[in-house]
Amino acid sequence: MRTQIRSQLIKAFFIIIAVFFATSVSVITIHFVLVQNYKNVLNKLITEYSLSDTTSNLITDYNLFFKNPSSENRQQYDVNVQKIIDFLKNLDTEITNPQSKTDYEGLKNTINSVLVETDQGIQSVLNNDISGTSAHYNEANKKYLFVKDNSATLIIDELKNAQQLQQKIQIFYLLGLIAMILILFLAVGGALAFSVSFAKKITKPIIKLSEVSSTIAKGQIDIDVGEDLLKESNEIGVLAKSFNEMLISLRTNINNLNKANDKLGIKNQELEHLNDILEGLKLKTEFLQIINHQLRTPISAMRGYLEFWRTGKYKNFPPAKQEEMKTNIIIASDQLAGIINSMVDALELETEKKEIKVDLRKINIKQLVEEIYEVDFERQFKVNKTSFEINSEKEPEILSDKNFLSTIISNLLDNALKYTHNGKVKVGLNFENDYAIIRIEDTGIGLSESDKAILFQKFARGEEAIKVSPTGSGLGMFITRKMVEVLHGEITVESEGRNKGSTFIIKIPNYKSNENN
Amino acid sequence: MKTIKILFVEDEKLLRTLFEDTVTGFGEEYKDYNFEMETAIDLKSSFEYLEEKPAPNIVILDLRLPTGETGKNKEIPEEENGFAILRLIKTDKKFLNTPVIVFTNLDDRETEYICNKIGADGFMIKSKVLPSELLDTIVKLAERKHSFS
Repeated sequence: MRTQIRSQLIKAFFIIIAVFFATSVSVITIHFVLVQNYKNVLNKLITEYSLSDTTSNLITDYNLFFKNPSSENRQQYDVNVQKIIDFLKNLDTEITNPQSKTDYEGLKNTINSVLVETDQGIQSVLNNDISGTSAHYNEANKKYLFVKDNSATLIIDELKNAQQLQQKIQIFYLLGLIAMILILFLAVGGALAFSVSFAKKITKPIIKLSEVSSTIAKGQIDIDVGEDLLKESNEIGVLAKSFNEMLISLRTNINNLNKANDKLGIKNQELEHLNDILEGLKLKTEFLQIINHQLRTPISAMRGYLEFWRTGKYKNFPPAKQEEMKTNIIIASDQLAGIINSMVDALELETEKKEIKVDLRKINIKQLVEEIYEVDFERQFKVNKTSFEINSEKEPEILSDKNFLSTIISNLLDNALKYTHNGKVKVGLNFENDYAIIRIEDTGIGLSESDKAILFQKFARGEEAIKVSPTGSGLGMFITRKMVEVLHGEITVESEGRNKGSTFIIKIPNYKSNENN
Repeated sequence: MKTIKILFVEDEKLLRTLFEDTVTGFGEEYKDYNFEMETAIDLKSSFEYLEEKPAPNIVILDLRLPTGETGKNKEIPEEENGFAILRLIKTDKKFLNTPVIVFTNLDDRETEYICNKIGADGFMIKSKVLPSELLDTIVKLAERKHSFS
């Protein structure tokens, strides 16, 4: 829009310049033609009719006639008079410009009055006695002669005046030309200024409108085209009005859309809520299935073995086997207790209603890991043909809760072992900035990105983990995370993907009692 | 003396031991029968057994089973590992006379329905059945199918 207006302005400017030049050229031409005309006319008259000479001759002949008023002298004088009369006639016909005519009127009048006076002089000479000529040399008549002489001088003076006048005219025309050029400049400037302001007047509202529309395009609709635009009586005003109407309807539509969207949002929230409930129910159902299965297994074993005692069949077994069977009942009941404990732990840790009390002790983590491994895992590692090693850069000793920490390490080792066969589990220990850092690295089934995302959630089980060990409750990692949080620590997991092993990293701080508040 | 060779598919060691002890402890009540116990602990070892060894006389089958080896049989969800074994037995002529007792803790009608549909000869809930009852069922089914070694 703006560039179009600019090009229009440039076009207008060039047209104006062209008009200016054309006008200038014609004015200059007219000036020179006119002035040259007067100059030529005057020169022609003066040279052709030899006015100065004729006037001098007239005076000479007049004086001669006075001294000797013969018809020959009279004739000579009349020839000169006729020349002047012709000159005046030509002056009338050849100078057509009215201004110039006025300017030359003085010259004509002077010449005429000289002619009239000389004629009067001649008449009085002719009327008087020729012998009385001398009387004309008297003081009284001297004036008369003096007048004649003076008149001739006056004619010459008038001619000079005429020439000066002609120069003045030339200057006047030059000044006129300059004035015309100035006027032309002013006109062009004025036209330019007018056209610019006019263009601005047109473009300003258009620019304003385009600004408004680009603001709208950016998504901001809480604006108006402005009162000044609406007041415009031309097409711009109409455009602004329809623009404003469009804005209003746009706003209304957007508001309606927003309302609809809000409603949808609410519905969506409700749906999400419902989904959460359903998801929760699904999880609970799954959880119940798993727990059910897990609880039933030791119950089956316990019932089965107790049946031997109820029926007395235990007697069919040697005493050592009987002891083993009794131990199996205890193992089954321990399993049952273990499952119930995890459930309770999970529920307690999740609800966090109960204040969790920590029992702080100085713990050497390396010793703790070795203890846990030897007591609970050594045999199982051998069964899984998996090696175990501890690398300790520094031996971290921290103030923390031994039971929690034991459970955390135990859970992580159990987890590593569950998914690692014929592999390796490495525990790395370090101590940095008052934090014990425990890395438990295995070469097991690894974790996918989606597994990692849900790993520490309740009932979460990795896809691969389910296949390898379907009986897991999905509570282990959840409980572990919660316990790490109780100790103000952090737990993270790294895995490059399926079958590439997993590394659990826990950071446990030297316990600070004020952090517990 | 009829020999009944039982394949017991169970991942829980405690339950495998219990069943072995049941056969030892209660087996004497079935004077005409001799029980032979074979075990498989997951999908992989079950498939291997069924492929390589002669058909057992009866299969006691747990449903929720580990796959056994990562990477293989990935397409089978764990809940269906038992179903896969059941399906194999019921579609292979080799096991025409081999009855299968599904022995599980998945106590719901849907699971039972699916098992019956595939062709299970019995459906028993672990926590509700006493070892002696399981042994009774085994003998009855072996008799019905004349499945002895």
